[in-house]
Amino acid sequence: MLRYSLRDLVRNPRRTLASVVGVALAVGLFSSTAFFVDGSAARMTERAIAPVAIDMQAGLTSPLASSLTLAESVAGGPSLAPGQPATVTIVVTNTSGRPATALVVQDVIPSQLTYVPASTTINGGTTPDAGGESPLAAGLKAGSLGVAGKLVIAYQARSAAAIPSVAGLPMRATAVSAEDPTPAAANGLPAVTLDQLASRVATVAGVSAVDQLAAVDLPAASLKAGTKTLGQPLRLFAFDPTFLTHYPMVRQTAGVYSTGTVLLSPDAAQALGAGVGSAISLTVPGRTAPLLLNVGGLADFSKADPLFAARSADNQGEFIQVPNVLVVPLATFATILPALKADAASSTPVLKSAPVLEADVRIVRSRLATDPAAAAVVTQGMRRSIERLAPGRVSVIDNLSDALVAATGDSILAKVLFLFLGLPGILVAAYLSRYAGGLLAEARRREQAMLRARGAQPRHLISDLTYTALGVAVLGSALGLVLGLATALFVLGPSALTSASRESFLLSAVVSVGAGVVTTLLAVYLPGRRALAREAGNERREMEATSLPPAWLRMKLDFIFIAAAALVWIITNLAGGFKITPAEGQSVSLSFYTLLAPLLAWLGITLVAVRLLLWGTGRLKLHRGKRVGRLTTWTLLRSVSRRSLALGSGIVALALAVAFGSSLAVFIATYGAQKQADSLFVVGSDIRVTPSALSQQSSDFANQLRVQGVTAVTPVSQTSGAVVGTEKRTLVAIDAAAFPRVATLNDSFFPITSPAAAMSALRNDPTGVLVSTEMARTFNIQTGDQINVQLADRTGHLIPVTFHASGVFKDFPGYPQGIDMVGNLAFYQSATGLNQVSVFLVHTADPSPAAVARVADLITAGPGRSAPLLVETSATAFNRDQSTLTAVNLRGLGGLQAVYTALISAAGIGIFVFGLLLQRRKEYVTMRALGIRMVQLWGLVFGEAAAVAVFSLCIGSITGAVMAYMFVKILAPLFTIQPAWLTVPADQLATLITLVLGGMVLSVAIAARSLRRLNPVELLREE
Amino acid sequence: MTQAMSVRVEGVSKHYRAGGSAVKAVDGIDLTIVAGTSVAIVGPSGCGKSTLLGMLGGLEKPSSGRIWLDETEISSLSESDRAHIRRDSIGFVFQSYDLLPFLTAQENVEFQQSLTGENRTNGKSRSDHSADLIKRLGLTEHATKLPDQLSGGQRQRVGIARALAHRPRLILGDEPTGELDSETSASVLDLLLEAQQLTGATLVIVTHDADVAARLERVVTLRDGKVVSDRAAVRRA
Repeated sequence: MLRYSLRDLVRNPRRTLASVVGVALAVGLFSSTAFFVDGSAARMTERAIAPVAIDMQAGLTSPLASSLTLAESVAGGPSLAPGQPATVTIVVTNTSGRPATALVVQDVIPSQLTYVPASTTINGGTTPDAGGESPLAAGLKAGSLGVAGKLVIAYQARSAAAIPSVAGLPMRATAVSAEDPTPAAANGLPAVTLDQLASRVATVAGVSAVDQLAAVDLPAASLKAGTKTLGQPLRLFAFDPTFLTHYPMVRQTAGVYSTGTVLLSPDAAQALGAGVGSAISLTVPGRTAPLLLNVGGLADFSKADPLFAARSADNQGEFIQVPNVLVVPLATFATILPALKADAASSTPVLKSAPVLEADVRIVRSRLATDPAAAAVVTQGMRRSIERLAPGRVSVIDNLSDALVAATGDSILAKVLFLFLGLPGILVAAYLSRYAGGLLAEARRREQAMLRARGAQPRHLISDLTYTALGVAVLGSALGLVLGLATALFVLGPSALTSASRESFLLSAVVSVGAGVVTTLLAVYLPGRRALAREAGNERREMEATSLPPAWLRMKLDFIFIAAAALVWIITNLAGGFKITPAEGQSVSLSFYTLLAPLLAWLGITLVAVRLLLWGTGRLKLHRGKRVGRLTTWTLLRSVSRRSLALGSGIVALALAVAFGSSLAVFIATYGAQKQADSLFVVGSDIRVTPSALSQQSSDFANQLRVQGVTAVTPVSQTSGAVVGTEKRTLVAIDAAAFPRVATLNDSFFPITSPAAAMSALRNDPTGVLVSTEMARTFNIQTGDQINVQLADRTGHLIPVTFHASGVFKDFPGYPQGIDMVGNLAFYQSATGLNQVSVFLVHTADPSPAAVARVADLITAGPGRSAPLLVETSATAFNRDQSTLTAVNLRGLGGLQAVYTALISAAGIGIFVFGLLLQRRKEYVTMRALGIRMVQLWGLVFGEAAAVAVFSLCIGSITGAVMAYMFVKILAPLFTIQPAWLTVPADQLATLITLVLGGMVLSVAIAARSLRRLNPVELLREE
Repeated sequence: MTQAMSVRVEGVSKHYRAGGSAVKAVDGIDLTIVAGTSVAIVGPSGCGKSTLLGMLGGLEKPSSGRIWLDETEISSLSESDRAHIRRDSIGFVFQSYDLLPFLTAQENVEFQQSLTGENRTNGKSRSDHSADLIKRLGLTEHATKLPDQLSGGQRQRVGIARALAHRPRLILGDEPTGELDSETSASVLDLLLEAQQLTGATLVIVTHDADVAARLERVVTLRDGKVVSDRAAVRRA
C-alpha cells in the first residue's frame, strides 16, 4: 500500500502539488516568521543593553561604617555553673589602609557575669582598673593601631548564677578611633572598604573592569575660587581618570583631568569664574582646613544621568541633575572620608545624607547570550556572586539585568504580536490546502472506488490515506522550510538568520515542521477519514453531502465570529485597554487576547460578505424566454448564479488572503508613520539644537542655523522654576508666529480649539499663556483667567509676572514628558531679562532621514564649530526608543507577509482556476463538441476567475481595512501620541491588486492552453 | 426540410500511444454514407466506434486518411473551422446526455441555438423555436428544470432537443440509449428517427444494441478498428 501511495503521489504531480502547496506555504510563512522573531529577539538584546551606561553598581550599604572590626568572645565552656570563672576576650582589627589613632575600646559586662577586679590585660600586659571597676566600662584608651594591626583585650569574670548557654550572652563591646568616630560594634559584619570591594569584584568571572566611584552632596558655600563663593549646593564626585575612558557619558569639554587635578562642571566654573588651571578650595564638614585643589578641566555632565540617579531602593532610578559638580581623584576623597565620618558621628551633622561609595562594574557583554532571558540569567548570577563577596555590606544595582528582563518581556510580547500578525496567513494557507483537497475529492473518490472494486478493504484505504497525508506533510514541510529560509534570507537578509542562536533557530524549524504536520492533519487527513467513513455507509449520500452548503454557512459561524470579535472588543474597551498611557520608553504591556478580535473579525466579516454575495447571486434575475444575447455573459451569469457555492469557496480563500495582506500593509504603514510622528513629537521638529551650557545662545543664533536645506528655525526657552502658588511648574516660551511653521501641531494636542486658534490666541496676547489640562484642572483655570507666576530673573531672584490663560493644551511637541505652560518668548525675555535660549527647533525642506542627517551635519560643521551644540534628529530619537516594543521593526515582518500574501493569492487563484478545469472539464468538452468558439470558452473561465478575483479584492480590502484599524487601535498604547488615522500604502496595495489580477490572468492563460489539449472523445465517454 | 449531409471516409486510421505502445483504434476504414440515410455503427467495446464517430464530428483528426462532409474535407481543417461546422451542421447526442448542469432544459436547447449566432430560425425567435422543440418532445412541464431534476429519459430527450435545435444536417449519436431501460430506449430512438424523418438529416448512431441497429437503414460493423460488415439493416418484426 505504501508503494502504491507513493507512486500515486509521483504519478499525479499536479494533484500532489495542489495538496502540498498550502502546507508548504503555511510552513514557509510560519518558519520565516519564527526565524524573524528569533532574529528580532537577538537584536532586542543588543538594543536593550546598548543604552545601559553602567552595567552594575555595587555600593557599600554602610559607606561611613567603621573600618575597625571587633570580635568579642567568652571562654569557659558552653555553659557556666554559678560562680564559675570565664575569660572575656575582645579583639580589635584595623582593616583600613591607614593607622587608627586615639583608639578607645568600651565594654558593658553582661549582667549575668561579675567582673574579677584587676584582671584586664591589653595584648597580654595587665592594665589597672579605673575606680575599682573594669577600665573598659568608662572606655579604655588603647593608643594607635597600625594598618591591619590587632589589639587583644581580655578580662576575667564569674557567673553570678547558672548560665545555660554562654553563646546567648550579650556582647556589647565597641571601638572608636579618631579616623572612625562611629562605634564599631562587637561581632558585627566584617568591615569592607571600597578598595577591597573593587578588588574582590574584579575577580568575578565575566567582569571586564571595575571603577571606584564616590559621591556626596555638600552644602552651599563649600566651594570657593579666590573671592567668589559658590552659592549653590555642590555634588562632589570622586573617581580616577580611567573612569572617563570607560564611561564617556561624562564629556570633558576643556583641559585634562589627571590624578593631581579636579574637574568642574560648566555651571560651577561659571559661577566661580574659574577655568582650567584655577585654584579652588573645598570646605568639607568635619574637617577644619579646606582642601586646596587645582582645576584640571571642565566636563559636561548633562548626559551622565546614571551618576545622579538615586541609589536607595525606595526611589531607585529617580535622578535630579545638579548643575554644580566637582570631581576629585579617589586619593583626595580618601582624605575627605574621615571628615564625613566625623560629621556623621557628630550630634549636629551638616550633611543630610550619607555619601555613595560604589564599584561600577563593566561586564564582558560579548559573552552574553543573544536571547535576553538567557543573558539575564547570567547577569543575575553575576549580581548574586558580587553580593556574596561581602554579604550585608554590599548592595548591587543591576542595570543590565533590569534592561534584559524588560527586553525579555518585550521579546515575548513581540513574539506573540508577530505570531498573531502572521497567524491569519498561516490559517489561510492551511485553508488553501483544505480547499485544494475539496476540489480533488471527486478524483480521489473515483480512485478509491476503483481500489474497492479491486478488493481493497477499508483498512487499505485508510493506510493509503495515511501514507498520502504523510507524504504531503513531509514534502510540504520540507518545501516550506526551504521556502521559509529562502524568503527570510531574501527579505530580511543573512543577518536575520545569523543573529539568532542555533538553539532557537532549530526550535523554530522543528515547530514549523510540527505546524506542517498539524496543517496536513487538519486539511488532508481528517477530511479524508470523514469521507471514507461516509462512503463506507453510502456513496450516494456522500455525493449529496458534497453539494451541501459548507459547514460555516450551515452553522452560521460567520455571525458567531463577528459576535465573538465584538465581545472581545467591548470587554477590552470597558477595561480601558485602548487608552493611551505615557510610554516613557518603558516596557509596555498589552492584553494580547485582544488580538483575537481582529482575527475573529477577519473570519467573520469575510464570511458574512461571502454569505451576502451568495444570497445576491442566487437572486440574479435570469428571465426565462429572454434573448440569449451575448453567449458568454448569458452562460456566465447562469453558472455564477446557480453554482455560487463553488464561487464562494474560491472567494473565501482569496478574500482571506487579500484581507490578511492588505491589513498588514496598512497596519505596518500606519505603525511606521506613527513611530515617525512620535519621533517628531519627541524632538519637536526635524532637528533640535541644544546650545552648550557654557555658551548659551540668544535668539539671534537662529539665523546662523539656517544652513542649506533648512526652511525655518524657532527658538524655545524653558524654565522648570516657574512658581505658581507654592508649586514649581515648567514654562516653555515660544515664538507663537514661527513655532507652527517648525513644529507639527496635531489637533489632538489641543482639546478645545484647533492648533491654529491656540497659536493665534497666544500671538494676539503678549501675556497669554497656554495651560496644560492637568494644571488647568489643578488650579481650576479658565480661559482669560489671570495667572500669577514667579519667574527667576538673570540674577536668580524671583520676580512676579502676570500671565493670562489663552487656552489649554494636552501635549506639546518637543516635550513628551509634559510641561505646564506655554508662553510668548518675547514677553518672557522682557519680563526676566534673560535672552538666552534653551533649544532651537529646525524644520528641513526634505523630511527624509538622509536629508535631515545632512542638515544636522551642516549645523554641526557650521555653527557647531564655534560653539558646542547638541544636535538631535527625529532619526536619533527614533533609534533611542529601540529597547522598547515600540521600536519593533515591523517592516521586515511586513516584507515577509507581503511575499506570502502574493504567493497565497497566486496559489489561491491558481487552485481555483485549475479546480474549475478539473471539475468542469467534461462540461467544457461538451461545449466544444457543440461547437463553442475557444474564445467563448476562455471567456467563461476568465469570467469566473475574474469574478472570484474582483469580489475577493473588494471583500478583502474592506475586511483588511477593518482589521488594520483594529490592530492600530489595540497597539495605540505603544504610541506617545494618538494615531490620527490609517496610513494607506497605495504602492503596496496596488502591487497586491496587480499580483492577484496578474495571477488570475496567468492562471486563465495556462488553463486556456490546457482546455485546448483536452481530448473530447475520451472525456465524453467518461462516466 | 434541411439539406442532408453526405459523409465519405477514405482510409482513415487513428493511432494512440498507450503505455509506451501504439494502439490502432481505427485502422484504415473506408466508408460512404449517403445524405439523408440512417446508419448504425456497431461492434464490441473498444472496436473504434466512438473514435470513428468523434472523427466524423470533427472532434479529433485522423492519424491518416481523409473525411469529407459533403464536399468539405474536415480532416484537414483547423479546430476553429471544425467547430464552425459542428455548431452549424452537426447535432450530437451523447450516451450520458452531457447536458450543461447549470442550465434548465430549455436553456440547454437555447445554448445550442445561440452558438450559431443567429437570432431567428425559420422566422421564429430562438426561444420560440426551443419552446416548440421542448413541446414536441413532451418536455413542456420540465422546461424550467435543471438536468439533475430530470429522469434519464427526460434528460436524453432534452439532449435530442438540443441536437436538433439548430436544424443540423448530420446527427451523430454515441450510444444515445446506452443508459436507458428498453422502454425508454425505444421511445428515445423513436424520437431520433422521427426527427431525422422530419428534418431529412443524415443520422449516424454508434450502438452495441442490436435492436437499435435494426431500426436504422444500414448497419456497419467494426472489429479491431476495421469494417467487417456493411449491410442493410434487417428489420425485425
